[in-house]
Amino acid sequence: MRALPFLLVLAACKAEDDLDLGDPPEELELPDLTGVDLKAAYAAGLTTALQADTRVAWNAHVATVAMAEPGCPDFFAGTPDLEEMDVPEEPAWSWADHCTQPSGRTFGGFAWWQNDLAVTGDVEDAEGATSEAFRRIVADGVVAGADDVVAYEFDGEASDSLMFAEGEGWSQWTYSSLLDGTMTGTIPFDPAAGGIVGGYRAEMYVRSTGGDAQTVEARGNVYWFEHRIAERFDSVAVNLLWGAPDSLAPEECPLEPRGWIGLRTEDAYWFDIVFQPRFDDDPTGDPYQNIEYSPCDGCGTLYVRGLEQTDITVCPDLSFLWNGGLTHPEPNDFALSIRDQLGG
Amino acid sequence: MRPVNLVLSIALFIGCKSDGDADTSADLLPDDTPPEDTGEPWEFVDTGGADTLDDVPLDTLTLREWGTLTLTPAGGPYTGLSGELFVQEYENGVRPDTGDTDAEPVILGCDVAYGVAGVPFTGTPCDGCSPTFRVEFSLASGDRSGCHDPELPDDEDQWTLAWRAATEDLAKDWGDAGLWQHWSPGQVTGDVVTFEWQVTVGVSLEEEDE
Repeated sequence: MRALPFLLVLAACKAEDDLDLGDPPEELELPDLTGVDLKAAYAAGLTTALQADTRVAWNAHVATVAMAEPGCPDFFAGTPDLEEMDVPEEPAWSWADHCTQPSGRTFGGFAWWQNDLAVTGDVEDAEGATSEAFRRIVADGVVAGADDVVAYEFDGEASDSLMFAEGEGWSQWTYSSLLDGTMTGTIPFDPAAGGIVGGYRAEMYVRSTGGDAQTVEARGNVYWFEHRIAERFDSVAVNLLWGAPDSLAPEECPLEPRGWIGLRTEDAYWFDIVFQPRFDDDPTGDPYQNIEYSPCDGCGTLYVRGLEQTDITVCPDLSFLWNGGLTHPEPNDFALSIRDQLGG
Repeated sequence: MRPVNLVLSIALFIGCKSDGDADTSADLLPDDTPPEDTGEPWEFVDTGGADTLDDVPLDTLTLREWGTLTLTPAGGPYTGLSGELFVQEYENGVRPDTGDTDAEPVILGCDVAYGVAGVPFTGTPCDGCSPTFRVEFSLASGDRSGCHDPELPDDEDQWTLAWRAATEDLAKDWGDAGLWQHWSPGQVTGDVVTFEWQVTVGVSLEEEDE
């Protein structure tokens, strides 16, 4: 749409000046997708995107804080004395150092964190018990073993919050997470665990609910340093909103989400599958000029580098989201006190 | 995120991929560093050798939190608790109670006193803990916002504290979630629990002075 005035001007100029525009552009040659299970690839892409949350960063942070020894790293009350570091100036604990422990383990950089947990009520009461928890970590630090193998490195910020209510025979929860940073190391990405290896750079927001209503909202992207989907996709980008069939309004589509999922090949081709429009002014119209949005059939419209592919239909099974695919951290996971470690 | 922003983000995402994405290198220290464990908790002694780097905080902050909790009635069985919690923070080891009358008076940024009142806790205590009390803190003097300890109670905060004889410390039920964690070393004499927790950590003072 935006290109139309430009094209008109261009056409006018061409008519008057007979400009030589050179050779016509080469036709885009699409990567060979023979043998690629796109249904499984998109399901795997969505799964790994949703897993890129604050839990990964926090759990590794807790593990490395437990490795602290007197003097290495140095703990700080509040913000460490670092120049040119964008660290919040709020009540918190932090560590900052460049040091080596007797074992050879090294700490370099800093990590700053806040966390809180409050439980009220009683599970056995009619109103049940409610846990409200929050945590946040800002870091540019690395912890490595004596063999120089990185155990945990995080450069960025992660925060999440949980509301978990439970009573006799019922529970409901809301979990939201924002992860924006680069993370590597054998603690968050244990090669023996069979999951993602090597780490990633992520900018992901995920909000999910469970219990009486199962919903998920996700937007952002993840680039894996080593992990690949279908041996060729190195990144995923999502912007979607969906709910379980029994959690949707009658006019909403239970077969597919609103929004889209994109997978990128190593040679930078984005393969985007566009489902139901995300909003009234849905982004699927920009850059995708698909006037006819995907019908509610469980299938999406495939675009490669923004070009609609009419000969390929992708109908990924994303129902795993409503069968244990959405999880939340336990309230107790938000507890971290270093008073014991500080001694005194 | 607006669509245009997302497209820009993706474009940036693509553009930034090639260099350094998998660079996990850092200024790791040589692993032949001669260790020097001071044996004391969090003393800022350079633990590295002469040829290695071990950052030490430019400024330190000593956090001191102490007080007493008196159990009533005397001799038990206890049905109530009252006491105080005092909090002071000293920058770079400078304390106001040195006895040096010629020195400039030290104005503490954190000098807080709480009153503490409690009743027996009726929930599940930690193993080996007795007594266990639900206590409420009442800010009696001072400005809590000048203190750095993020775990200090707010005025009217309620905690559950328990005496652990085996480790001679007061344990706190973190978040009232049944997570009992060390809060302060102490000792019991008759019906009185005396406690004091003191540590020295790094602090950034330059930012605060600006």
